[in-house]
Amino acid sequence: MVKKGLKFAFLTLLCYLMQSTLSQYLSLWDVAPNIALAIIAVVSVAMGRKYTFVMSVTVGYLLELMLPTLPYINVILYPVCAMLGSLAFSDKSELKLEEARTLGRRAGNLPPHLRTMLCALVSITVFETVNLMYVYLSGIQLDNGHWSRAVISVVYTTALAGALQFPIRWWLGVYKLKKAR
Amino acid sequence: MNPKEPKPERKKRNESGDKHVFRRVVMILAILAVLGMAGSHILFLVTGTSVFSIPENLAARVITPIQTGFSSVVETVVDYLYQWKLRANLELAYNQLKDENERLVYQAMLADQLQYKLSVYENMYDEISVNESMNPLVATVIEHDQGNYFSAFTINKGSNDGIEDYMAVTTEGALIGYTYNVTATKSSVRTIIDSQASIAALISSTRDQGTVRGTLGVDGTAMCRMYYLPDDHLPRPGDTVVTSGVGMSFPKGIPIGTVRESTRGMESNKSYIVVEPTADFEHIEYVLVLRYQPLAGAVEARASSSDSLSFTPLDTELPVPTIQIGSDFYQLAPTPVPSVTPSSSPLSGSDLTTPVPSTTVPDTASATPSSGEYEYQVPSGMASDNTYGFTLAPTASPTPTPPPLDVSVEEDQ
Repeated sequence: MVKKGLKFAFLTLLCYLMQSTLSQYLSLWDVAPNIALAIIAVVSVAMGRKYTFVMSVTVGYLLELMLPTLPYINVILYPVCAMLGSLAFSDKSELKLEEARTLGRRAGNLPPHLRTMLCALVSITVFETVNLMYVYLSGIQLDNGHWSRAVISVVYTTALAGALQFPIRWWLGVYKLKKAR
Repeated sequence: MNPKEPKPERKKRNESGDKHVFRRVVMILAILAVLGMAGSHILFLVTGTSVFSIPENLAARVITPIQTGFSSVVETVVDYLYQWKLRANLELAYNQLKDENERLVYQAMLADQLQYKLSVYENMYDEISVNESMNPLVATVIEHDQGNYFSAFTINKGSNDGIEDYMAVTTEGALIGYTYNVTATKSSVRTIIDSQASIAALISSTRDQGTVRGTLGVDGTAMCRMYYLPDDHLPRPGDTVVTSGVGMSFPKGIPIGTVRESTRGMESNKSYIVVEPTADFEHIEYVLVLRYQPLAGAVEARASSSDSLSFTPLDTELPVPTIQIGSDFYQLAPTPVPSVTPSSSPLSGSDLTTPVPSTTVPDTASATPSSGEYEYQVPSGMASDNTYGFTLAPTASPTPTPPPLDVSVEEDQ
């Protein structure tokens, strides 16, 4: 329990630090990926919604605190985006699965690696959509440059989540748990 | 009756339940803490109350050093990766730069060569423009024969281009030598520093003429010597020596060199001065052959009319005697007795005139008069009275020889 909590705390801190310091060096066509949402998506599938919420709020808060680009945007948007993805693609509870089986529907989860990428896709899509809306409401006409940057960010972050999930899940011990089962 | 559970299992369940509760409590506290901090931040942004900024300040104090350290680590790693990437591309970049450098060096060499050629062509063009009347022809040196005793080279133009033997070869306005051994497609050029070269020249300041010869075979130096200079003038160092146009069909006035020193040397009882050539014989690539023919039309016309030469004496003015025959000028001399030439008929006064020879002077071989028709100019007053006492015989000379005067003295009665 304590070990898991420490890992989670360290991962949260690492998520913030990487987003604030490393993402600019990973730019592709001058578009930086959102490492924070990628790691949060991995945590959503690997650890659950509660951890996702704590992590997203913490990262959003720290980003809001240290990089105040837009007021309220990080502290609100990160938890919202992360929770939307987590609600859709995190592990379903046994209660939900049993309910689905009772109703005769297909009960089960998609492969976790795929769900991680889909979770990141949903999160970053919402994030970019809100940002574009904010830009548009600020009076700036959206052009192909905005859309292309948004698409590149979505694809890049999704791919990054797919790449990062393997070391993070290994470090969190998810593969050991699966092997024990 | 329910069987009693063993005490260890009950204890485990209790411990498990406690852990579960504890886990829930910790999680709830964590969520509340995070939410509380986020809420306080939002409240601080909304209300601006400094109380709500206390959690922010605490979090910033904790996060700032961590972020600073992490940022430095990230930058170090990024720099290392960047350097590693540079090193990985270093060889490729080095090879590319090396190839580019070689290409640029080659282009620079080519540009220098072209620039040199351009300057040579410009000089040649200027020289051709200046010497256009001398029918110049640009030729390229294709072979050098610069030995210790002889200096000659071969050019790529021959008789097909109108080159003949002993035509002047120049470069940059200075005489190099002359052509010899001309074939259809090439010609040999003997330079003026060759010992076998001998060119008529003159010193431009004093106009003293002499002969320039090379010294390469004499003392091994690429100099010239000028022989046969008159002794009454002393050339000055720096005086320009040019071709005199005598002998070979060289144009007059082509610079050969400059007088190096006025001190004369002696060689086989011949005095000479040292002339330093103007041309650079070490770097001859292009030359100008002056296909100069001195007054070719006049020479041919004179040569064609030389067979029908005839002597035509010029008209001369006839002499007129300035003294009167029989005047007192010769009275001191004894006058011989004139021999009276019998005449068949007495001469009248008009017959006593001096015969005048024809205006055309007869040839010396036929100068003796045969007809005897000579006229003598005598004073008209004297011609009427016969006071001469003699008859002038016609002579070949237009000036009659006066007869001896009568100097006899009559005695008084």
